[in-house]
Amino acid sequence: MNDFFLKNKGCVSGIGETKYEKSTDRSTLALTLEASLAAVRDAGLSPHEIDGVIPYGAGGIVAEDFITNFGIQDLRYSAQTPMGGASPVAALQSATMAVATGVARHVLIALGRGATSGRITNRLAQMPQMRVASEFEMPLGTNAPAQFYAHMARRHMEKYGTTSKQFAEVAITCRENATKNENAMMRKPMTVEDHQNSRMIADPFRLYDCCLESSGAAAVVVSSADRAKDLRKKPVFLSGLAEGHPMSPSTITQRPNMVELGLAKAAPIALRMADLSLNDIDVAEIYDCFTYIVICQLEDLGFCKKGEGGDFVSSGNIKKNGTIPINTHGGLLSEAHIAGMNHIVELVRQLRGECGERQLRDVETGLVTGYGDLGDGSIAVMST
Amino acid sequence: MMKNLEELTLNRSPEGQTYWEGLLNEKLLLQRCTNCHKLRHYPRPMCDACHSLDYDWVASSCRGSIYTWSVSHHPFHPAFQDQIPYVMITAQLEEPVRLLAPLVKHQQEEKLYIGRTLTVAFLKISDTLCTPYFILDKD
Repeated sequence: MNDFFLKNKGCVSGIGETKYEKSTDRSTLALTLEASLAAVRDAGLSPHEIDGVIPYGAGGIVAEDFITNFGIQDLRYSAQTPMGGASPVAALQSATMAVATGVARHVLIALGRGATSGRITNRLAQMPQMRVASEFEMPLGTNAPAQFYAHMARRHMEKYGTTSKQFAEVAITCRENATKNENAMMRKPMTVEDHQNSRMIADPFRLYDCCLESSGAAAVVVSSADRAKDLRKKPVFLSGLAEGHPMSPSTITQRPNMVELGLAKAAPIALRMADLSLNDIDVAEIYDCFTYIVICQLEDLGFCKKGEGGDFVSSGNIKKNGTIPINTHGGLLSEAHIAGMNHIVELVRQLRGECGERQLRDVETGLVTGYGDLGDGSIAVMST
Repeated sequence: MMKNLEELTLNRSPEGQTYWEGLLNEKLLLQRCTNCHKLRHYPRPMCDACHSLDYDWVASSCRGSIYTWSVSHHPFHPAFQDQIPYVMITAQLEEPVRLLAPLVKHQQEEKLYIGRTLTVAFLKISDTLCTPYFILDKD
């Protein structure tokens, strides 16, 4: 077995989403099941045929919920990938391992946020991965992601001259893309001025540097490549997969290099596995909890050198007609915060050619990243 | 505010307990591996260099400089609602560890830049909680 054994062993065979909105009175479980059922049917499968489940590690939903509601007779694989927003893309790797080795045939990855999800500072404090930050940093007044990540962003700005107006380019690009997406929560075009006038949240982050808070759910099915070819939809191959963790993963404060994320380790592995270079990538769905995190990831992926991400985004590279279009659905910044499961769904749609008005031309390969838990990264390179 | 703040101090680890008690005595205690003498922060059971589980504590010089910072404007947590806006600094201490703490109230408008030197001071909030904060040297 070689290092790149997983290449093209698994496919995304089905995708599903609910409506995305600001709030809901429906439970996280009900929303998750709705999206999951849509994904299973999109693949042309019956819910009974799902024999592997990876629910989101922080959503309160467990594999047992799928046995109970789907009536699964023999669930053979269940796991969690507790990496915050890096979880869904990391789960693609875990699911591929399961289908490539024959442990399972069709693995469902699902994530939902409903009325039962609670407020962000409480959600964060209860995550086991946040234990260290919770003991030593939260009692001092750093309690939410915007506050933690602001320290990385400020360091990048001071070190490389990155500006708030460059952050704005990321927010505006996502918004432009969202105007062509009927399920996007924010569809009114945004200008640099709008961004600069938005209120300060955790300096250097303004309101429009921060992702949305949303209700909704998304899900995908990963099937073994030989089974996927007989299913309903054109298979989308998982060609390169990796997760990466930074040093001092539990606290940004102590991290040797504060302006590099776990993705810097994962990206070269996934690209080598796929046997592709960045020039081959037609579209990139980049985890965008904050504008700065997109800039940092573009550097960590290698689209530009460390420190040049600000100039890279302000030179039009990430626009729809740029060298590497990003977040064609609007991302977490303008479509919805479904913790990046919506980025996976969008990449599959682009590769299938199902994006309607926002469909890019000639999309054959793309990548999706995940980011979360103070620095963890994940990446999947997909191709048709 | 106090009730909300106390809720945030319930997750104490055995290693962390000594650190928090040190703060009550106005000392910033750092763990030192008794095998290879590497200093570490935040408190934890094992030395990542030699994997020894044995350690003692040394008091920090409490001197350092700005590594990066943020300014919180949105009241994410009710315990800090009456503080906003407030500056939070990540400082590189003279010892090879960093510390995250707020900047003293009367220096909120000071010019901040990487490398600006500072001192750690201690704010006693209750009989069980004392938190570190920073005072900037004259620019």
